Amino acid sequence: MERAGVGIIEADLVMDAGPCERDIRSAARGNGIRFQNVSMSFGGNRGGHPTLAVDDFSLEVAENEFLVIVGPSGCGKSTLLAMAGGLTQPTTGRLSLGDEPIVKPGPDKAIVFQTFSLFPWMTVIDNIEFGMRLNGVSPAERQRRIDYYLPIIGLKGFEDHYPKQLSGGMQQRVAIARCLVLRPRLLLMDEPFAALDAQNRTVMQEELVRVWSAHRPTVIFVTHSVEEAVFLADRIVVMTRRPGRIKDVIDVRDTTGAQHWRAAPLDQVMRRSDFQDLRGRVWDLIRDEIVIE
Amino acid sequence: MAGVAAWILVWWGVVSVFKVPPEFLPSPWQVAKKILWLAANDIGEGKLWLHLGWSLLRFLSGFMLAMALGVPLGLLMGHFRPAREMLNPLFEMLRNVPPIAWAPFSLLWFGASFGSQAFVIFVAAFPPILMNTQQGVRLTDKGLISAARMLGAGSFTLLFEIGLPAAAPAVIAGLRIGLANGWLALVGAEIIAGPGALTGLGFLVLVGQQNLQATITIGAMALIGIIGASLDYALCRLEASVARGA
Repeated sequence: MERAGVGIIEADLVMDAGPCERDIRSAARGNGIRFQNVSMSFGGNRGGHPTLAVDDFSLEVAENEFLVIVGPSGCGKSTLLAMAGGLTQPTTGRLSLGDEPIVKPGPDKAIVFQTFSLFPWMTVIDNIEFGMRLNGVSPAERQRRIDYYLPIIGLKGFEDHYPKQLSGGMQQRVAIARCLVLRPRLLLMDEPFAALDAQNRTVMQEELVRVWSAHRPTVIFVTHSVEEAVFLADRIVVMTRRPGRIKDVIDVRDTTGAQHWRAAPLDQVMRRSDFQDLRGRVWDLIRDEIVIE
Repeated sequence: MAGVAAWILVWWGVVSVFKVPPEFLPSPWQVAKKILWLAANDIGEGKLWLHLGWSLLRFLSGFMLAMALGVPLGLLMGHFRPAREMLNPLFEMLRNVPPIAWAPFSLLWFGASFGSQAFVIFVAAFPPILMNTQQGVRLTDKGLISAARMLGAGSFTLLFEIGLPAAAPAVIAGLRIGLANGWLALVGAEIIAGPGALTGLGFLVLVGQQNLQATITIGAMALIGIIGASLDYALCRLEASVARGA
């Protein structure tokens, strides 16, 4: 894939000035997200003991921030994301986006799922267009956003393909595009690249940075991969094993300074000693939490 | 096709080698001749086309009704739990009654010339269409539902734009089973649920038996088989074209 670089950002500025821009974001008063003493337990409704998945999780994610949550399996990372997306409600505690409580899912809180979850009976275009159509974006504007994102996600020429005719990486790019075209206030990504092979994964991480940079929605990104976390994040939240609590919050910007390393290709960044140091630090935090069962 | 031709040859061979009397088992050639004869001569109320037409009309009316009621009701039952819990016991009970057992009531309610047979075919075709549609909607990938809700889908959109297409392969499989059930019920419906009606392929089967004309009975049977297979083939093609997207 070719890097389109500056050209895209310019195109984007022009696009934002358009008169028919119906930006979901414009209604927002701040796109930060706040978890207040959030806990989540499962089961227990049939007489068994409920399992506490997330325990007293409090965190504020700033507007435009790229937050990555890492932790061992079963630490409740995906649960946190589902709550942020409004798909499930916490057992106790509150979540809010801007100053509105999160009570149901919606296009302002876009989610990229680990298993892509594209509609198999819709073509690439129809998948991307579906959410915009549901939210009353005009046909002309829909076309404009599709024309804008298709080349970015490298799927020009695949408009009329069905998901199963695409590789995993291409499917996930469609899933990301269908979120981005909605101009979400919040972009939630649940191990989005876990199903991809190592090469595809690297390419996708770099692509994500590029596409995200254009609009910078607030991102919460859940992953197993420490390397991915250190490369992408502004801040990394390390979770304990179940019940999931915050073990540590690491601000990557303390290491990178104002010029974040994610703007550079991953293989270059990986050669930096400060990247490797930070990676080691995060990995040590997680290793303590992994129990071999 | 070659397989079918081979078995017809075997049939022919058996009949000519063992010199089977034609009233016991006629040869394929005799049957084919009889079919042509039926096309040119009146039996019962008319020629072969009239019988074919009536059978198809009865069948299609019953089957279309089963589809028109079964698919929407299945969607509803798949989507809304209360609808499911209320209606499922009823259908579980009814679907274990053989369709032809409805013949007496069917005659009473709808009359012997058309409605009675169509109703029996409806009863035969309806349950698989309903059950498959309902299962298809219920088993919609939860991830797709989450994705649709995230994209802003309401209940209506979820049902018609996600549930229905997600269930499409199951719905079509249900239509195929319903079609086969309905078509298989045709002869029974025309003989038992339509006494006195002098039309239909079922009537021809009966006439052949009553007049010891095995060629008419087997001719009608062959036509029933061929038409049933063609109908199934048509739905098969539809299934394949839907599966291309899924």
